[in-house]
Amino acid sequence: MELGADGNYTATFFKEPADEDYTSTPPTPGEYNFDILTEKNKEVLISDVLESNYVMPVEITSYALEDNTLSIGWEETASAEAYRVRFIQMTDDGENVYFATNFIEGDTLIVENATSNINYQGTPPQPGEDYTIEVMAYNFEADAEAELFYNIQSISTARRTITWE
Amino acid sequence: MKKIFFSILAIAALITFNSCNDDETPFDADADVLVLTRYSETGPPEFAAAYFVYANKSMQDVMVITPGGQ
Repeated sequence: MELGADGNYTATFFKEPADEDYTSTPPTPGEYNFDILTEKNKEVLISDVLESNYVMPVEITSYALEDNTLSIGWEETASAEAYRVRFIQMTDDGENVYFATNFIEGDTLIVENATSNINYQGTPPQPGEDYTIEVMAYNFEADAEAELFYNIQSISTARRTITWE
Repeated sequence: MKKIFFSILAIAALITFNSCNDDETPFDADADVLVLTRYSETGPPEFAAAYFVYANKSMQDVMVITPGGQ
């Protein structure tokens, strides 16, 4: 299976699934081997082990916009080690990201001054339009002590649609 | 989904690897395979794999071979 680069940035190659790639069966645990052809035409082999523990999606239990403060709550899910929350708008071209956290812990996110802190290219959410709240749960490889970005074991995604008031 | 990962992971890659982009530096790369989980529209969970390779220099091509040989 071939990975691809994002435009001209060829120091990172990746392959992310399309909707039709999702199945009811988790990917096979074990050693995945990566065969790299460098810019100097040298072949390099590296590998990564996929473990069998993966994190399930959270249940988003509450979300509210009051007094210009957006609050989001969720039930923590087993084996999750960190969460990220995004506020996005789905478009025909993909998604516009209005707000995104780095890794956080716990089961609640409160965003004060919502109309200032949540915006896409300076434009805040518009009343009457639909937006998506997304809570992603992460767990990491067992031996991941540092550089967590490179040692993600699994990511789950839960979404709710809200109408901005 | 692409933006979810690339926005955060590419930043990390730039920080870690692009500090040594000259011919004297050996090629170095790191690979990550991970499971994505979500609930399907009908309720049950569904799964997929995502693959990333980060290097300190440009690459021409990357192939992944799964434990099943695919």
